[in-house]
Amino acid sequence: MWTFFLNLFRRARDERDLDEELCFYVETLADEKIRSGMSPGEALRAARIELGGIEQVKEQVRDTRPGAWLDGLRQDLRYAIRGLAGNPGFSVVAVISLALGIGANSALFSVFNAVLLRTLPVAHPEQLFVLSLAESSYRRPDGFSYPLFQRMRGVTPTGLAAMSRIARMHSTIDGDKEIETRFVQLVSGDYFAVLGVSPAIGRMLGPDDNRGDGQPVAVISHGLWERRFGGSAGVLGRGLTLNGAHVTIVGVAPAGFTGMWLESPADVWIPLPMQPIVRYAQNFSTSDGSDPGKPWLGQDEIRWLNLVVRGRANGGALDTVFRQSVPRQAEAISSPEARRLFLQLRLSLNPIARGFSNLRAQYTAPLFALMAMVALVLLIACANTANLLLARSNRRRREMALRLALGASRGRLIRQLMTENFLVAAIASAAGLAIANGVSALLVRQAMGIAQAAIPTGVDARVLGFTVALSVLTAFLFGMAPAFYAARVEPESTLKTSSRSVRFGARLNAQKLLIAAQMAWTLILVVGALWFVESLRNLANRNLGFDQEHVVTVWINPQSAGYPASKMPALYRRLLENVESLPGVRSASVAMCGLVSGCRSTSDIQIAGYQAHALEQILVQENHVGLNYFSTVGMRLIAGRDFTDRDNQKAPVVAIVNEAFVRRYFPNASPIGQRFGYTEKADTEIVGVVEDARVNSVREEPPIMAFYPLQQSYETVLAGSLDVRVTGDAASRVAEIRKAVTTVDHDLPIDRITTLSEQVSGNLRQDRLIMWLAATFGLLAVGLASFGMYGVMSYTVARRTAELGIRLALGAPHRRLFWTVFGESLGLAACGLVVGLPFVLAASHVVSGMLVGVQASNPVPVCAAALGLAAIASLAAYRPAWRASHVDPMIALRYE
Amino acid sequence: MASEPTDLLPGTLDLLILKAVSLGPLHGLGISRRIEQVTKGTFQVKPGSLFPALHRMEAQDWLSAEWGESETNRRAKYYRLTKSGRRQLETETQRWDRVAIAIAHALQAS
Repeated sequence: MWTFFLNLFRRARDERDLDEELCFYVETLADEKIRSGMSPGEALRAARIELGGIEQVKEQVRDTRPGAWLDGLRQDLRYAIRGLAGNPGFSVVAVISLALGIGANSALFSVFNAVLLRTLPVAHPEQLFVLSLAESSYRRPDGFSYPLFQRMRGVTPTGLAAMSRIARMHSTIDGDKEIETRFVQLVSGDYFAVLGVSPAIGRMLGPDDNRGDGQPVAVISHGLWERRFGGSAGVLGRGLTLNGAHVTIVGVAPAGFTGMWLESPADVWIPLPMQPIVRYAQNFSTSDGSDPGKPWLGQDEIRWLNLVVRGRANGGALDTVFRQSVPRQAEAISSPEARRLFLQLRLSLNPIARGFSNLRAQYTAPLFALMAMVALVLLIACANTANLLLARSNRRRREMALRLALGASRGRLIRQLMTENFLVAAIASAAGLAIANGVSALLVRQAMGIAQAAIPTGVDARVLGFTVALSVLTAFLFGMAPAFYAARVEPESTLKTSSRSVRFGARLNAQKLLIAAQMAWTLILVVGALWFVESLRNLANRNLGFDQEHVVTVWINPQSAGYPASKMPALYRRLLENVESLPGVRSASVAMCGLVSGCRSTSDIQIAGYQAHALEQILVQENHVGLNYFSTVGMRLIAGRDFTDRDNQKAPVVAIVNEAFVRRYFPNASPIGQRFGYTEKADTEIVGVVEDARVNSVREEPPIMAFYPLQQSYETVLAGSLDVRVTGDAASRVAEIRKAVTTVDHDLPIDRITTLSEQVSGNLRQDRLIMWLAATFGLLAVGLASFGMYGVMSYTVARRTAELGIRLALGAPHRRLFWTVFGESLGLAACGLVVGLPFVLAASHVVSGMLVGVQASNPVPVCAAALGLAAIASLAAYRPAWRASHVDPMIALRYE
Repeated sequence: MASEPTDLLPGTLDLLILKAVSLGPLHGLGISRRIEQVTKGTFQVKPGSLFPALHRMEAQDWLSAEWGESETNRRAKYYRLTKSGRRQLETETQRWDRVAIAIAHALQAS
């Protein structure tokens, strides 16, 4: 190490010494030759020849020095900087196109990373497994009851954590008046211990908190701590309310930890026994005999918990443990029915290192498609840079030849050129990373639909690593071939001849190949983008079966405000009266579930006179709606009657079903007057049929549905949405409606108030994001490719100035010269487009599953893209071609 | 010349240089001449191999260098064998002997 540094400092002296040493050698040799009779000049020359080139020997000596590679690198870097600075046009263009390519890749990768790769910020996330009920007699295999959790915990060797879903709750901080929405999760006492999460300050929840006695406590997220408590340690012991219940903060979760749900970060964690006090009532499934109105902890029929277990290596061993222990646990169950169900349990364990997510499955395929697209964009940028380098290598032939003649080895030249390429790639990566850093947080939040920066976004180590790897790959992709071309000069011939008369054949062909390839890649990207645009348009223009233009929806939450069921009818009546008295409001109605809101409830029913197969379940999605609901949201009644005042609690139970219901269960009979029900009693009479509607999402097909009058189920069902039909522009009515709702009860929290069209548009957020990304990549590709075409054609014209001048002087018409260049450009573009076609077809197979209503075989987008690209290619080639036809022969010839 | 110049066998250049300077300090040209002389012209060391080798061996501390007056009154860089260079010469010599004997045996075997 010491000699290494010494060598750095002594370099100058070493150089002087080496010089002197070699001079001595040559001079002494020359002296000897003079003594043997040569003339001094001749002797010196002979001695030099004998030495074999002072510079070469020096170079060889330098290579033996310790730290020689560092010196070499330093020198290469110096040359590289000089080379780039000496050609700012090239450098700027190369860096910009690569920066766009790399930036687009890094930005998209940061989304890819956040959605698909990033693991939970907990200790050893790979050891976490989610325990789920595979298909069993439990009809909806999506949760565990609390008693079942307790039984499972008894047989889990390593610790089992239970958690509810994330619930929106209304919350005020002690000493503060403002009501805010917080995202709250109920967790078991060992939740944090199983995940291996330790507090930033204070303590996490423990098993003692889960006994349900004593002061209710809560742990808050690091984000909430910083946002609302300024990150002060005084937060411990402060209180806040959650849906009216008061809890005391005992700890703060570490930064970055927001629970196990990717797209729903939690703000507050509270123990499971608080379920009834905070009125948690969502994402559960029940069977007969349960009462969701009573505390859930004692009810085996209410399934609402996700279970996560920490295993050591893989799920296999744990799987066996659970399987063996189920029969033992079954003995403890008193109810024979519950025991039978428990014995039929089929458990499955799946890795959950990345956390839960509904989004991930929806995004996986589109993200892979987009990654492929953005990789093509980078390829196009690489092709551009390679083209520029090839063009430039001509100008640098003499430089290269000179350096070869002066003793540099070819390997050394390639190394130096590659250093230059790496430098370009590194600068471009830095710029690309800046672009990515700017947009990735936005993209990730858009992708997940999270407004606040609760989740870590932006550039992390993995994105950084990806970008660095990308820049190295990029440098090789665009730089390797040009570097070899450049270093393949023959010093003698190159130095002797003028730089303009060397042969270009191979290099020019490579350039044209790249142009054609760029066209092919661009075609794929543009057609892909058009497909995504068309798909989004089809989705946006879908007939949803309800009227999104004239409806304002208010999401109310009377439950969290603590309204008892008995007061609900009066509340609804006052709300409707208040809102309907507004000018411009035609009608208003309430419903349990709002449209396209994610709220859904599905039950299995029995239909009188319908013979179900042995294993068939009749699953029907349901909604409980107020009077005038269908006319308010614009669903058309096509048979029977609407609900009326008379369908009250004293009247027979009635329902209105949709067309899908009729098609499935009454294909040949009239549904009016038919009966069905939750039990074999089948006490519900069908009184009407409405048109199908996409009530869940724009993408999802209309489900089989039954609507019940809310007034017959006031006892058990709460309305979550108030729909208002207005005349004219719905958006302009929002403020008045909000005011009308708040005048009814200041403490009735409004979760959200939007126009229905806004709500639907939010439902297409993902599709829109994907479309915008695809379109951006398509545009980038077009820009880069047309720029590449322009550059290469300009270069060709510049190189052929002499030839063109001679042809003009010999009487060739301008027109012909124009077409020589223009025709060649169009030929290249056409070649590329033709080559690209089969790839477009191949791509269509890959993406067809993600597209809605797009026929990949439809030639229109392909033709449009091809024509558009041909037009852009001709635009790019026009100016070079025009210049070719307007060469001044005199100047051209003199130049030579 | 007594015999045709021959390419050096790999690994022999170090040995020849160490041997050449073992009798006393020499400059680069001197070393080259000494080698040519003691091998009766069989081995000619070209400057392109000689100087890198000298600098490498100096860095390895087998040789030490100092500036002195040449016979023609010029400043010249003289290389001298160090203690570790002498040890290296011994090991290299022994190794070479073993190789030479082995090769001789191999060639004599019929």
